[in-house]
Amino acid sequence: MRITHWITTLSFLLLLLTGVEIIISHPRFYWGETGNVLTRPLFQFPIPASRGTVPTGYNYVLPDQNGWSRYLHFQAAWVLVFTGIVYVAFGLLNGHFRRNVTPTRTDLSRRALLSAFINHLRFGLKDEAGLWSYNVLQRITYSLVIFVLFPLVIWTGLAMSPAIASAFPALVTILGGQQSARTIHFFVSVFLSLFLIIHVLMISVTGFRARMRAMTIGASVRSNEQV
Amino acid sequence: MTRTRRQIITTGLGLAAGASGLAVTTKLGRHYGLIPPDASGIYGPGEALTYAAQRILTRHSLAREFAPSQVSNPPFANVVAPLGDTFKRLEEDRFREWRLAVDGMVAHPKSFSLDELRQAPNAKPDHASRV
Repeated sequence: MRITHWITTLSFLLLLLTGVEIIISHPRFYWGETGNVLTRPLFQFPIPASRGTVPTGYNYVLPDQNGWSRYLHFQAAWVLVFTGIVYVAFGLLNGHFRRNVTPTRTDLSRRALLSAFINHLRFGLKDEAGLWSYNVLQRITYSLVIFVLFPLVIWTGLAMSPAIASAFPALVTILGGQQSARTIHFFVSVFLSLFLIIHVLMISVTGFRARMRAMTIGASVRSNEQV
Repeated sequence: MTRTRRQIITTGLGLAAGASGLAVTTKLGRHYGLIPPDASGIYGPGEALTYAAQRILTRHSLAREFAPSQVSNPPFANVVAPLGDTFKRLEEDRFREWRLAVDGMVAHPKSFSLDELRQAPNAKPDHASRV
């Protein structure tokens, strides 16, 4: 299980880097089926593009890193998908999701949610038992990331492929078109990146070294680590 | 961390099974034409997976068709219009001389003029009349 976390981390970081390079080649986003330099964009980034044909208002063309970026984006995506399948299969089989990830019914009562939320705002993190099991906010976040954001980012990624569109047109039309898929893909990536930042931040706050140990060599932490 | 003999043997067997599985998959892939020409190099595995997945998924599918309202107006001719001498010559004649060649792995290699293409049957007849 732990190794899937780190393979996912590596492929996500590669996907993020290459994704940024791919955006730079055409930093305009559209809605619907069609989008090109002659259509009005939904929004665009105020940056120069790495292609001379994309009008950005800058008299400057960034170095084109598109070739290897697209190859690596696809390769890392394959790694992520296979790792994700292994992770989800194990998580379902050994009960990790049921025990540690999905929120319980009592957790989801309005009062419990509110108290967890207030506790979180007060930085009420320093209780030893609570530190090594997930609270309800974490459970909701992790469930969203695992069961909503990652499936959605894979779906929207696939929906950009003309081959997939020809085999399963509904995968594209439900999203509102190929350009909509690209725009949703971008926003889901933003949410995943925000999750990554907060995830790393929380780990730093609650004891970076102990948690890195727990996630790598898996040393028993509860007994001999002062957090 | 120490490893027991059993762990080492299991890992070894696992690696051997993985390697032979990969070899068999590659061989099968090659047999069914699922390995792309650029399958070597560091991005080769990803390319091969994408190529194979597309070949398997699109074996019986046709390209999507769009209603005339969905067609960009004016169309964006990718990066640079292909303005070679041949193109200019064909353009002067409004492409009457141009023919679409269908060759390669087909039973009956043929070529079609624009008029023949316009009269060809369409997968979705309701769009055909408006092309």
